[in-house]
Amino acid sequence: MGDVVQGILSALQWQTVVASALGCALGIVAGALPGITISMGLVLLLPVTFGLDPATAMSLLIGVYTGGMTGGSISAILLNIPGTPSAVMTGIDGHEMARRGQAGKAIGIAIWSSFIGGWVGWAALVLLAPLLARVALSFGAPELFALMLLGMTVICSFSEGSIVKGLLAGVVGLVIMTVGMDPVVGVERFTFGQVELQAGISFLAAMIGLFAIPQVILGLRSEGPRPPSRPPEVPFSEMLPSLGDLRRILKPSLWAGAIGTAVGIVPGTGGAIAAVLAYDQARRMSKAPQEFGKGSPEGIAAPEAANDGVTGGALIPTLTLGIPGDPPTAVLLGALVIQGLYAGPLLFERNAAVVYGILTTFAIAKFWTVILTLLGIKAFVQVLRVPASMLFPAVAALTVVGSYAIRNSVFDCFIMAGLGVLGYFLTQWRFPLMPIVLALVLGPPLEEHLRTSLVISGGDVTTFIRRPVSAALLALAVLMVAAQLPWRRWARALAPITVGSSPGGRP
Amino acid sequence: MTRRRAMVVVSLLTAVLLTAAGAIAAYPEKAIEMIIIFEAGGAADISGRMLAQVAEKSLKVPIAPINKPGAGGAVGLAAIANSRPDGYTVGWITGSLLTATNMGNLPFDYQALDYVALVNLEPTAIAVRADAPWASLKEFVADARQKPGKLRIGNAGSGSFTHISAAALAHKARIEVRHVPLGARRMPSLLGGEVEAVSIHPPEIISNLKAGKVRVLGISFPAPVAALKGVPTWKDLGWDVGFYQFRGLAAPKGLPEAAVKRLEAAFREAAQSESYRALADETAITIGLQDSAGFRAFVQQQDGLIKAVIKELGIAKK
Amino acid sequence: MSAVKSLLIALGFVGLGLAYLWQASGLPAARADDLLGPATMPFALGIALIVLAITLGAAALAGGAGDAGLVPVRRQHLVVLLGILAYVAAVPLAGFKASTALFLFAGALWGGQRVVPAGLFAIGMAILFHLVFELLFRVALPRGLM
Repeated sequence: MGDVVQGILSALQWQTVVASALGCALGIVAGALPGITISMGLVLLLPVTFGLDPATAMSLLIGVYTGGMTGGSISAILLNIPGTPSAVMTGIDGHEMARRGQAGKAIGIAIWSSFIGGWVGWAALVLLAPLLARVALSFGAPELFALMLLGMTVICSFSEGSIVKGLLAGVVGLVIMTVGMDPVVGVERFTFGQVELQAGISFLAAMIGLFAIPQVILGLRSEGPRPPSRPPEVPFSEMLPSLGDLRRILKPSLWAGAIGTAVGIVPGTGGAIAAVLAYDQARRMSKAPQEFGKGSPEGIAAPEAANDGVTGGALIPTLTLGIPGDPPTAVLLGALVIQGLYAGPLLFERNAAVVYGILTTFAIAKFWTVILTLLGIKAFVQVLRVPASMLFPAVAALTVVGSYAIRNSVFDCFIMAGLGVLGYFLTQWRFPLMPIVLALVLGPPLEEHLRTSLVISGGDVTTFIRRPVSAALLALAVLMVAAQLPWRRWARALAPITVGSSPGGRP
Repeated sequence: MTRRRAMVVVSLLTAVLLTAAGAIAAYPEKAIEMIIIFEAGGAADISGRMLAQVAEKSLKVPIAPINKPGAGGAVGLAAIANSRPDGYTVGWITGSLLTATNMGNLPFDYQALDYVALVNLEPTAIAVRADAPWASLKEFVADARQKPGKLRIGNAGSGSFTHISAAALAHKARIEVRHVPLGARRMPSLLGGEVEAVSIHPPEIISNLKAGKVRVLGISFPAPVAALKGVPTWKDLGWDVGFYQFRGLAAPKGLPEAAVKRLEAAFREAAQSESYRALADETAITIGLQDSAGFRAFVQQQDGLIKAVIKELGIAKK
Repeated sequence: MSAVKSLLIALGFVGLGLAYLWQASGLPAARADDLLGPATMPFALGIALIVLAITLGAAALAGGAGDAGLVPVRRQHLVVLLGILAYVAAVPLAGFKASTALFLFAGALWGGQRVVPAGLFAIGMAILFHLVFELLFRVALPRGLM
């Protein structure tokens, strides 16, 4: 008990609270800039933490982690470029809402839903960590494969207009992701002798190109997806989501927070996958599913709540097992080691004060993130007042520097530009782009876990249905697809045949 | 007139020569870029960054770490080998150099680099869950002989250092096991029971080892850290593979001698600093300093061993 | 007109699928310990690509099939597209800062700005990128061959 109090007090010292604010601010900026990932923001601060005490050091880093998740939504909403992988779904409805002149409201919804989802993850971390950590270990390769497959079923629902075009786009995305070293035996596939291609196509670079380049091309002489005139000056109060909006997003945010937490717990997943699953779930539950993709508040809330749920979820295996739940938590683990602390079962026994310090600091970071982003909204939305002739060239430059920064590779800039060209033509040909993006996110783990499962089981395909969790997820995936098939149209098409072939059917 | 002209020429020449000499003596005079061949935040990255941070104090110029991850280090290694050997691009490399080149993932071999200083050595460990039925590596091997192809050893990826090490060990011990490429999922897979054992470097298991969740059956060479004291080496057991994971500073071929000397001194000094020694202790890596010539000889010897093993195993690309 | 174009697009995807399958045919076959092997996924994808593309082509021939119609590719779009490609190609040669400043200047002019504001914008943004990416986040932006 003394440790608990001591831990909480250590997180409430003024220097710890200030470190948290600084971390959040840096995290928000890092998250908002495409190509600067949360992990990069964390690594940048690692040397700074060498000289700090554990409470201050972790406070700083957890601030970056928390702030970064919310920061990613800002560029997704304003520019339709996801700042982090986790913000991949946020732009769909967020940018749509911004185009209608409600950028402030969209960011406000993102901030509050992040806050709600974040607390779900936090509660799970505080109350159920050791129990959930054990659950995480039951997630092997077959379960991960089933989870990715479940995510892939969402492709169908992004194929409005033409299901064939949607599926084709999805396959194109999967084709792109087969480039590189094969995930199981390391054979080069479609690399044409290029060392850089061995590393595969960076999905972040691909995504930046697909989303941003078509916009620049269409928008530079302002006939594109942008309000034709400058948005009118609106008072600050109108930028924020109304109470009605908040009531509307509460339930989907709680759900999405739970999905995010669950996904975050499983090592080898991350915010992007959580956002995809949560978005689909929110649409399924919504009273107005037709608004999704057209600026639905729930469509912004779900992915944002999910990726903040991931932070709490990912910290569960990190702290209790010493196994990072996602890439940023791997850096947090490294930071703990530098402090001479080993995350894992011993941390709770021997350094309970540190654990409770981290939990408190994590809560403080959530408040800072809300405060800082709310303060920033007014400045953020000014971006949309920049004339098209300046905004779009700047966006293009941002895509170049962003795609370069991911792995310090000019090659990735070329990949980004190439996919941008593809994105432009597909847009003009009325192909949906979201299936490609989903395939980019889910494709590589899908194949990897499918094949690893078979290596582990010794080639026994029944492993997928014999393991209960995997079987349940696969059944869910089948149901999702079945629910989206046009049964009624088929029934109508088949009706005359059935009637004709069974003359005795009707007296 | 001509004498005056001659004097001007001579003095000009002297001036040029002096500045040229000065330029060499003044190395380094601008920031040095250090390519790290893995993602930001991993064990190799953190040790490289920390070392660079200490070394830049004695070099008196900043060292900028640049992560060029991908394809098990191959992308970064190619970037190092292809950069200008002017002393302003160096690379923080690992044993992946020898696996990537010998597996056929790179169009060059270890001779494409110049070697500045060897800093760390890391044993490869075979770890099992604490409740596993095998008390020793001998028992594990005996069991594996009983059921060929049944026991599974997780590694960091196909052709990775941990994969080659485990495969070489299995070859020496004449057992047939299934090597599972698990990457960062090795620990959850081991604890969750997907694989019987993992081939892994100590930094990644140290916390679970201290917590008593896993046991290490054998390591590829004696580790000085307390947590691994008394663990038998593969050599003790008669299955010496002879190669070890390492980390060190390298540069593109043709680095000027002055730059080699300067960097070598700075990095050796940094490796012996108190902060770096503390990090090595915490993360269970060994500081095994070698100078430029020693590093090169070490890499050459290791290359021979790894090349032979990969050939024997028949796993290289055609 | 639209149907012919849709058909051509579908044929393009069939061609892509065939080329992909041809490239995939060189991949090593599955082994006992890796049931699917490196080639299975690419083969499945190549076939899916071709089947879907043929379906798309058939729908175009049948007349629309719920197709919202194609938006024409405009010449001014292609100008911007080529501009971006030229910019990306210039980055490794001229360095990030110079090529970015030049691109921003040209882009702003093309978008309708006058010379002076376009120039100020280009220089200002180049400085901003330097401050944020190089100084704050320590990204070593490409310096070019100079």
